[in-house]
Amino acid sequence: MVQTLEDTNVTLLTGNEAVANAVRLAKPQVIAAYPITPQTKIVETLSGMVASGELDCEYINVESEHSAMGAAIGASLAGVRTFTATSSHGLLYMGELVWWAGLTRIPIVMPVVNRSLNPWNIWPDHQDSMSFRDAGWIQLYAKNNQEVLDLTLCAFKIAEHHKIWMPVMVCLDGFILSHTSAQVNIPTQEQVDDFLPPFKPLAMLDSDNPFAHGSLTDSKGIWEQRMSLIDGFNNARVIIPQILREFANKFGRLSGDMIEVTGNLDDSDVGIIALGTLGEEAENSLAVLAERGIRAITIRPRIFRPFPKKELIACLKKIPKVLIIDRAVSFGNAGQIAIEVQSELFANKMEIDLHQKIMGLGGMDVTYVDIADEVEKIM
Amino acid sequence: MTLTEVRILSRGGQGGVTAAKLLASAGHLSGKFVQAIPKYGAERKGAPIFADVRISDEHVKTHAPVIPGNTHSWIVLEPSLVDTIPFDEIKPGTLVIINSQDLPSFLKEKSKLKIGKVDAVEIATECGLIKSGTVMVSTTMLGAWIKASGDLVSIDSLIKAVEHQFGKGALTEANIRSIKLAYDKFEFIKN
Repeated sequence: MVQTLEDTNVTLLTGNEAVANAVRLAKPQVIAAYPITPQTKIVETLSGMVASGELDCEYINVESEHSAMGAAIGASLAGVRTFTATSSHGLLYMGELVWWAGLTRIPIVMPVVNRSLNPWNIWPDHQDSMSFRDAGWIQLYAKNNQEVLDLTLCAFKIAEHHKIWMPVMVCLDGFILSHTSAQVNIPTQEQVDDFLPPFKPLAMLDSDNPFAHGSLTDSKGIWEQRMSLIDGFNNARVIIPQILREFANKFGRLSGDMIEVTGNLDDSDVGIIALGTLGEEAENSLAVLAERGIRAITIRPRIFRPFPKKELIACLKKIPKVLIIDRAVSFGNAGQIAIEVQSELFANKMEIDLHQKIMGLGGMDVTYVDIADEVEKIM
Repeated sequence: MTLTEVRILSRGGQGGVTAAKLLASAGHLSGKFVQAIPKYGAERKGAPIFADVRISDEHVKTHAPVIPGNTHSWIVLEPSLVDTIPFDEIKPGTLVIINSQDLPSFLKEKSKLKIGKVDAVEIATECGLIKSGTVMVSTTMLGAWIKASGDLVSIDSLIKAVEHQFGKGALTEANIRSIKLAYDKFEFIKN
């Protein structure tokens, strides 16, 4: 849905400010975070809100991202809504505990402001969050500042659903969203309260009823945990669209679709698959391609974990050709989205004219014309 | 759809990034869809930087920096940056406004562009917009741009944006005065 200016709640926000406003409305009880470019403004804004009393929350200053996630895990296990945010090297440094939170199903919400990894580069690509695609976290990718706010609100509801109960990363492209000002409709507290109920612990540390969480576990216990996590993702596949649909009904934005399709799926020559801002950039390429006589559509997964297999295959059945654009690489193979799409095509015994392209690494600019040019090359 | 793309060239510390945000904010207050995109790098005082603004009748889907060939205008806060404009890429009729008393002579050959100048240093100095020895010319240049663009966004919306950014007070008053002076004094160069 296209934003409108008629609503007076629409204001100019950077992507980082959109996150902070969503978090303010979601009312977490504990935030533990460490700043890193380009995420800093999220935690800076939130710490200001806590300091001014606008947000009633325990804000824990920590000395590293590793400690931030440690504190967040502890707080969540103590039975409260918990938030942190990071980016790039911060995510890597946090890594051990990111897996800990994923594999033991701690419902933390954490935006990852996508930024390139070593060697030194502060600009966007998806290598950081893609490095944690297997870590047991749900991953959402936002296409613009409005979706950043909307998906952050949904992330709390998804993470805390008792049949999901796992951590959620909200991924937003560094600078392209985090530092760019654009219009965002900020819902009221009443609207958000009506959508997002207070945190309801599924299991919490309780000194009156002590139990151990995360201690030494034998293979049988690990097997049970991992199978439970797989089940959790299967549940998430069903429940996330319901939550997105509820959001759409209440706020008039997003939809129940794990994948957003733009263009005429039933009558197209080629589909473009891309995540995040590249997905919306590609939407802008459709008119350029139409002028060149190419009927193209965009297929943008909002959710990358769980991977929206069924929805993706339903789209791919209707198009003869696809260009997959990845903003990260699984070195030794290909871009992560390309790998996963090919896997699903094989599993469904489908053949399609498939092309892949790595674009936009380390902040390299990708315009809608660049995308249109890449599509034209494969026609 | 009408889409206006503006690139602001400046040196770190001059307020180019703030100018982009103010112009977007003015566009927003004029009922347009907007984006303000700062190009971040190893920012430091004096380094050349740019920031882009999009003002549109529809929601803006592109997130990339503006394509020079599509630009409506260039706002140059520091005259030594004029030669970083890719003149062979920009289209005839593109607006280039420069903070300068004297324009580089090569600009006079660019007869197909709409070139204008405003002595923003003088105006901003007169209004007392000096911070740590640097003359802050960003709002002055926006006032000139509004005149040059034929009021593509209203001067009132820019003033409101300045009030929103800086709050009420002497600084805001000084910025508003500089905007109005620049609007009145702006002139196109006759080829």
